[in-house]
Amino acid sequence: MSDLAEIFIKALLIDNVVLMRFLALCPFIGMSTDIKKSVGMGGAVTFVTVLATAVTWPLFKFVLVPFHLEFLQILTFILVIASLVQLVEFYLKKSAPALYSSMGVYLALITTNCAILAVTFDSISNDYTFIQSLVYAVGVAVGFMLSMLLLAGIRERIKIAKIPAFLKGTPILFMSAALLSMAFGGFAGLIK
Amino acid sequence: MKKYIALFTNGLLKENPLLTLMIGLCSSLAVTTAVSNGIGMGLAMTFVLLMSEILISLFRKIIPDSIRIPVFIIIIATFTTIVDLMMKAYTPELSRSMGVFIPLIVVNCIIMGRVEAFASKNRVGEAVADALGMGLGYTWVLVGISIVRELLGAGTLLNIRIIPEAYTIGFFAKAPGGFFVFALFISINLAVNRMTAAGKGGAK
Amino acid sequence: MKTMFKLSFSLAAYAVVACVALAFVYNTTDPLIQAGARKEVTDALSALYPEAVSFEDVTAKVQSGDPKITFDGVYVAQSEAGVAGIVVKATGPTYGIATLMVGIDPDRSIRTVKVLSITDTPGLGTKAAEEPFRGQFDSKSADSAFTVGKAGSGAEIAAISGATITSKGFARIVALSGSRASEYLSQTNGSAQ
Repeated sequence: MSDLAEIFIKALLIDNVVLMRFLALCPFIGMSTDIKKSVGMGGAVTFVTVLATAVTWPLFKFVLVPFHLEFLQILTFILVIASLVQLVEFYLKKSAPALYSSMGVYLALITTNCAILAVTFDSISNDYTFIQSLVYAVGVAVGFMLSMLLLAGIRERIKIAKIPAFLKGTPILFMSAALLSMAFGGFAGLIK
Repeated sequence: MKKYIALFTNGLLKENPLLTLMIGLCSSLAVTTAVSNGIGMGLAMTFVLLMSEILISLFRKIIPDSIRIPVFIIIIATFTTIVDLMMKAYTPELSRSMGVFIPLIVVNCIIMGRVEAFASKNRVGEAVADALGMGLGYTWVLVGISIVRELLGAGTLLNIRIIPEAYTIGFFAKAPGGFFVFALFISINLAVNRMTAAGKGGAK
Repeated sequence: MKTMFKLSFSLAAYAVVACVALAFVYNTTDPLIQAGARKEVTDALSALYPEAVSFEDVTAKVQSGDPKITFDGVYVAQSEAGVAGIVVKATGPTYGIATLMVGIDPDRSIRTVKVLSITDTPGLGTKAAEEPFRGQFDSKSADSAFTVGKAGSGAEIAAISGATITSKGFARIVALSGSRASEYLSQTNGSAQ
């Protein structure tokens, strides 16, 4: 049990997927404009990530490895993720059209969300069990949502702050991300 | 010929994928702690982009429109795997230090973006120019950031010591430094774009 | 319905071509990759025990006992004169992850520690692979706890300033490798099983 908690905390804080590992930056910058969008995106990413891990882990262990097809890992994993995103799109269009239209192109872009592919790869390279992979997936996805929420909060303040001209727009966002990253760096010693 | 050169320089500066279009960020910041990683990543990505754009441009009239995204993914994933295997075989140290970021080339927004927006609608020659421009545009920014981060953060360049270790600023080698340096690069690029646009507008 | 069939077929066709192409590249590169990995291990082993004529793989017989540290390989170095020592290739957490090769002599002292890879911050945690940190373990008893502390504080190993987590993780890997390996050597009386 404690190793699961450790994996979760590491994924959420110590090795935060956005702020410490630089993954999933496109949606991080693009969708953190307000809290609602961040939560919506975070939820969708969590769903896809966990589902993707649940499918790719057995795929690797029970199909690719026994047949010595490990070199097909990149191809099969990304196709699984792409298909899952299609399914999510389908489902959202039917049952939550408002959320679907507000997410726009970013929903399809979940496919190219580096974090999801990275999670599926890490679960294999870190030699996690199935349950450990799922916990890891949830930790990473929640960490992603956390970092987006934090940046969304900062962005709302930036809107009414005085920013030097040469930093206006994207540069100040990255500077804020740098500060968040420094803060998260402090979690390094959390687990011995 | 002029058209090809225009396409090529477009990716290098005006529509630089990292600084202007701001796509393909994911793999970029993480590998910029060392110049060798930056060069490796830039060239690997350029290779995948080039081959994907060529193939997709060649087949653009044959690929059915409704399945084009999955087909693009298959093609990009195939070349990414090829790069991954070749690096593991011929440059194992570099492959190890770049870790999971080589497979992540397959989800690099630049490749998917250019393939969808350009290669699937243009001829092979133009696709080549676009790929080289975008790829090298990506590479030079990566190498630029790596030079700053490795020099200031570790005091070395390509593992050759330049600044004595006691004067290195650890900040640049760690995660926040990546965001910080990138922010500066973007702001410089924005400023340059503003100045050239103003210059052109003023001259007119 | 017919179009869906046609589309799926054509998609499958692309996938099959891709897989075949990849299988081809894989078959060409895999032998190189395997050979490279094997050579790396033998080179590293010979660097630690140049007098050895052969290395016996006893990995299955020595466990680390720590879930975070894995013994990727344990080899008994045999020289003309008998057992020259034992080498443990261990991977464990530092600030990132480190893979070390620890050589232990039959008199239960550490011959030396070789760093195969360390994913810590370049210029900070990676200093563990350089002198003076790495050399601190040479010739020490393999059974010592390798406590880590600030230089001059009386601890066995002086930590790298600003990289305490790396220093402690590194020392733990060496300590565990040292104690398990020398235990094995004494149990088997230094003779190959």
